[in-house]
Amino acid sequence: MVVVLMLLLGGFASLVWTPFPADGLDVGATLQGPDGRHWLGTDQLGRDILSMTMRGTLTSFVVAAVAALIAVIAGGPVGYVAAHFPRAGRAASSGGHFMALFPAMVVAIVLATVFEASSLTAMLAIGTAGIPGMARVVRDGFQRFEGRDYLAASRLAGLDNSEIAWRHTYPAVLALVGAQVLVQMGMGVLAEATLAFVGLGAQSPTNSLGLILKDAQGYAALNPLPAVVPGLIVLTLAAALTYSGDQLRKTTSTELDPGTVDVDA
Amino acid sequence: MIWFALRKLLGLVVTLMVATTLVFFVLELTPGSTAGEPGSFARWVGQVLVGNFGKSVSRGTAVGSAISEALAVSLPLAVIAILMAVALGTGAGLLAARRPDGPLDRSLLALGQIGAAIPEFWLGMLLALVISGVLRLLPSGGFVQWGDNAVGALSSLILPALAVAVPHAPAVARVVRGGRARLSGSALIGGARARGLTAQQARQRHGLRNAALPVLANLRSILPSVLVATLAVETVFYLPGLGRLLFDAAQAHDVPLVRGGLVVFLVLLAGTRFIVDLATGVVDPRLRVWRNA
Repeated sequence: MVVVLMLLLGGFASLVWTPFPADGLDVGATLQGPDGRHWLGTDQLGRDILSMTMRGTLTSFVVAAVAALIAVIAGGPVGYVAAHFPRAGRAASSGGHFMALFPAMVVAIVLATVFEASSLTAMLAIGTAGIPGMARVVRDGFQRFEGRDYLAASRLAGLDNSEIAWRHTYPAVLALVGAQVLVQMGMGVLAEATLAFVGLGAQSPTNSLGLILKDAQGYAALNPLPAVVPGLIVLTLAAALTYSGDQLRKTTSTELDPGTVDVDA
Repeated sequence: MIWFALRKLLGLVVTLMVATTLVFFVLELTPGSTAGEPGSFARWVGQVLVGNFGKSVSRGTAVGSAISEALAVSLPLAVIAILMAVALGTGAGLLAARRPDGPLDRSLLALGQIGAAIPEFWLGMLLALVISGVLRLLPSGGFVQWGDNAVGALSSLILPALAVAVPHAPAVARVVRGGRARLSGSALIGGARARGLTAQQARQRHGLRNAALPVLANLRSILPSVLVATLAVETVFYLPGLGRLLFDAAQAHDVPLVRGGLVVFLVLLAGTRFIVDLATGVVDPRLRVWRNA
């Protein structure tokens, strides 16, 4: 898990605050050159692909993170209510089933039609699609951590309800939410790239790994690198985020809720 | 069984009605949208039910025919992709279950984690570049109509279907492996054998049904993702399917076309879920008990 986190930080750091010193976007000079001064070559407009890739990675992160945030803000309270008010919980369940009909792509299509496609619409689409999942995690988290024996023990020791909440339940649920955030960010990175690729996400001049890949398909015969590298980055980010999330979830489950058998799938 | 099916059907219809209404009214917010408020929704629904989806603003042709042409590409593609994902996943899962926690099992698990993170459209691009471009084994784009050349049409769907299937196979594999590994030593099989069945018979009669359940449940949750991936992959291979139709329509702000296309897609999403639910009901008699909602 540490290795994965390092990979994550590596991706994050090298690309956020060092978007290429020359920031070589739209250099009128070279068109479609392969390697050399431009490590990944230039695209059909002469832009340096390496810089675009770095910026694009940042876009992936930001979009995925904001989307996850949306899911937490909207889904968290829903999950909390569902855990504590059974009838509302059933309604929320049906709502969740209904929302399965609206994956990010569908919401993105609607938003792109009504407004203009952009990384913002992508964020909203991916975020909305993540709400039911997050609500479920929060609800399950509260249900699991609020009936535990050690809570009864704490009460005997003299702690009142709110203290119990703060010391035991909330941190546990928070950890689970964190795990879900990581997993949703992993999926969010994939979704952002896909949406950009089909034209429903970030638009030029905003950089996105999906956009780079879309253009790269055209000149792949001349320069295959831009068709491969951005995809590898998306893959690595998604895999790393999902794996970290799963590890966090498992650790939280086994350490804070002894007696759970690790659910594999 | 009838009650079960009817209940599910009712759920399907209600869900679709709510979803369609939502989509209609949100799309109406598009600047320049034609329909005025009162009565236009009812009118539209009436028209749709008789098959008239209206006219496309961007293309000038009928929406309905555009959609049916697109479906001739997307539906087979989706079906092939699902079959491939289940086949690949089941194969890998059974292999892994042979020796649980053995080296093959562990490496497949790791491979699966990475595989599940592969972007479908990127995989499609790579497949097109390598298999079509370099090896020249399969077409890399375009689509021949079924009527003209069925084999050619089919061959243009193989790579896209594969691109969609690969990232979804690990989920299936995990479920199959879990079910199989749990089953081998279970009391269910032991009890059947004690009653005189051979190992083979016991596995077939009891094992299959019980193992199918988690697979169906998993299928239910990955279907939306598979359908969405199908739309995306069409772009890579220049297939004139529902994906291209919807994306172009959205960019052109063509409300009638988006409306019609989305309704059809929603029907696909809800419909496939319904079919899986029915299949689950067939396999698991416990679900069919009247009171067991």
